[in-house]
Amino acid sequence: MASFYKKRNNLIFFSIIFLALIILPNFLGYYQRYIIIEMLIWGLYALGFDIILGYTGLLNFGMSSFFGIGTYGITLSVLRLHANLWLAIAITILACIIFSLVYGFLVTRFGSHYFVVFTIVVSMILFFVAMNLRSITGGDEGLTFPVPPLTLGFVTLNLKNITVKYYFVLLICMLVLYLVWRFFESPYGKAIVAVRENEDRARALGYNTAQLKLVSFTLSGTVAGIAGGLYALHIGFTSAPIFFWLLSGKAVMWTVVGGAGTLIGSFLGAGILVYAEDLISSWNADIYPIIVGLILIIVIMLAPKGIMGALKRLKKASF
Amino acid sequence: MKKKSNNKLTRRDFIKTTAGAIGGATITLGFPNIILAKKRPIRIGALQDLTGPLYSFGRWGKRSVAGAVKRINEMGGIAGRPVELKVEDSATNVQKGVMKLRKLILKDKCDFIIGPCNSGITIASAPIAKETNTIFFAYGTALSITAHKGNRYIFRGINNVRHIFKALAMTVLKEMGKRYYCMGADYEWGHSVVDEAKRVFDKEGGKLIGEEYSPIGTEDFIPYLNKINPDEVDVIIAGYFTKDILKLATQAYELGLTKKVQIIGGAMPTGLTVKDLGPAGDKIWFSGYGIRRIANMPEELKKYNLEFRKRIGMDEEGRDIKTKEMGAASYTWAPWEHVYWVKKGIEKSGWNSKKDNLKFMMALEGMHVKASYEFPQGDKTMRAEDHQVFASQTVSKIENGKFVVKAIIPGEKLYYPPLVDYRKEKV
Repeated sequence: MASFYKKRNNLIFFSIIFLALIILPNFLGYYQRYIIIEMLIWGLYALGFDIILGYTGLLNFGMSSFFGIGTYGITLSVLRLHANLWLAIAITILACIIFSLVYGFLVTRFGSHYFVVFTIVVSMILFFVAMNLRSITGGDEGLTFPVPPLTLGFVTLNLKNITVKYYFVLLICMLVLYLVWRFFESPYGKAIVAVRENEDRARALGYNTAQLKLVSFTLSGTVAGIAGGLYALHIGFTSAPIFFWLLSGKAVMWTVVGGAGTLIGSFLGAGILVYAEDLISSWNADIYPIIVGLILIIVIMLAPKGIMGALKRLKKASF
Repeated sequence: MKKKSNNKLTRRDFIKTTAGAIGGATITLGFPNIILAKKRPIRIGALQDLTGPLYSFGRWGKRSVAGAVKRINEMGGIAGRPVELKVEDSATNVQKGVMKLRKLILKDKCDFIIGPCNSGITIASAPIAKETNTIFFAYGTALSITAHKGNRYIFRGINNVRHIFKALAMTVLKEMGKRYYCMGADYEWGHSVVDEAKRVFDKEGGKLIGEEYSPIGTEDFIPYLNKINPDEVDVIIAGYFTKDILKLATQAYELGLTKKVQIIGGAMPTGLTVKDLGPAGDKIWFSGYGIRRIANMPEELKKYNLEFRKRIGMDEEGRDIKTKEMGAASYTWAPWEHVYWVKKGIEKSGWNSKKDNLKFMMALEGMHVKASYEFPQGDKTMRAEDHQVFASQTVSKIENGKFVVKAIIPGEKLYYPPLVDYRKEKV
């Protein structure tokens, strides 16, 4: 019964946020909408990381690999295959699933330390490959591409229109968030959490932990890849540095600040830090990294489970 | 009723007189200023690499733009309108750069953008400039900016890598030998330098011995340099800047490579002194957009550059006046001059708002400017087809502990056929 109420409350909370985000653009200017689109995309990217760290207990320090595959998936589908939007998205998702599956098959059999090193190395290899295959990837100079229109039956919408782009990104982010949430509410998702809690015990109970980790890894990579695809559609440009490991570091930072293992925390962390970065770096470019560092230290000291963890603690204390 | 005295100033008279005086003074003295203040300012957005690997270029770029804007405002603005400056940091990062560009255009309502030195950000900015109908001035030197990756909204007020190697080909290349080895920073500019070097050397009958790229910020060049056999190589082409060229040259010197092999640095060693380069410096040739030391400049440019440097806080040796830190000498002119290209374009076209951008573009296309306080680097032409500036290029070398200018090639001699014609683009 308690589980039913918890699930119902989560659904109500989720719906309120979704509704608020639907109404929000009416009160915002062009640039504010642009910033929220960024927050949503980076939040989705951090969500991919949250799946692998927060729900599976694996520290993947190479999230930029999936993001890069996503950006290039869209870019190359449009540029080379002249795909329309839906086909480009389908190709990108398929590419992300295949890449994550093969990559996960190789990497999830390693122990934690080897796993971390392996993921960093793979992202750096992809970075150097992308930098050198300039005829395909554009290297550091990158590739610009015309963002295809969004066709919905008889209606064709221009994705360059900020309002259209806002709702498109919002819809995809919320859909992915909902599906991931449902997945981890399912018995299969709970089994993945059991692996995080105690892999030996989960194995002793008869779970195929290698398979569970592989599924989680693939889901994580695909979500991060979808975020990459959305980002490419957002800016109409992709370049090799997108694979660089520093972008993986951002996913870690956003998830830790928002709260790992909470799903919504990734959006919260990314939202707060992207907005703070925008605000502070305009005021003083030198101070921004120091302030982010301070936020991280404060969060780790006062709220080791991130902002969502602190909010949950507050809620428990008040009842 | 009491009669009012004629010689006594009543309260009513005082108010009338004062109001009249204020009104008169406003009309005669203050009215033009009020009118001027009511005119919407022209907003220039400076997107500069203030942090990250290219921070040295960005900080000097910001000083240059701010100095030019201040000077323009002191002299009455542009077409009677004051100029407002908004500065944003691109962090030498494409994702952040494009976000900040949108902010400058959409939130701060900037009319013109003075872009960063980073070629990658400039290329990613080109479609945004077109989409938002905003004219963008670039000073990254990758060739493609004013070729297939640019568009009609992009203007570049600095020479590019093709000019660098054309200048070298015209002066010293023939004396150096034909066997060359290319090394470059593994990003757009480094690749662009190597591509141009190969193009020029191949034309001169050169023989490519090898090609290597290393990441920006490589500490140890020994593994790369060890592949070079000094008996088989005459010249190393080094597509690096700042500290990377220093490390490469020093390590090549320590390996004894420089006894037989000469090094061609793509551009002036930004941020480095002759002392920094040490004995290795004597073997490096540089091709730069400008001249670092006032003493090396042609007489006619000196007065303009003294004033320009005073405005941006740079001394006669190219260092920061206060900290004595070496500046990004050859990259300071372009951002300053970009502000003046804006001024020239507005004055010639009668630009009033972004609706007049086409007129502005047409005004700048093919415009020739003379060396002046506005254009202290020297005479130059903005080529109509590809919006690429053609200005003088300097070939220099370190001799006896000083930078020595070996040749100054005028812009018109650096001609190459345009790779695109933006005038055909619909605006």
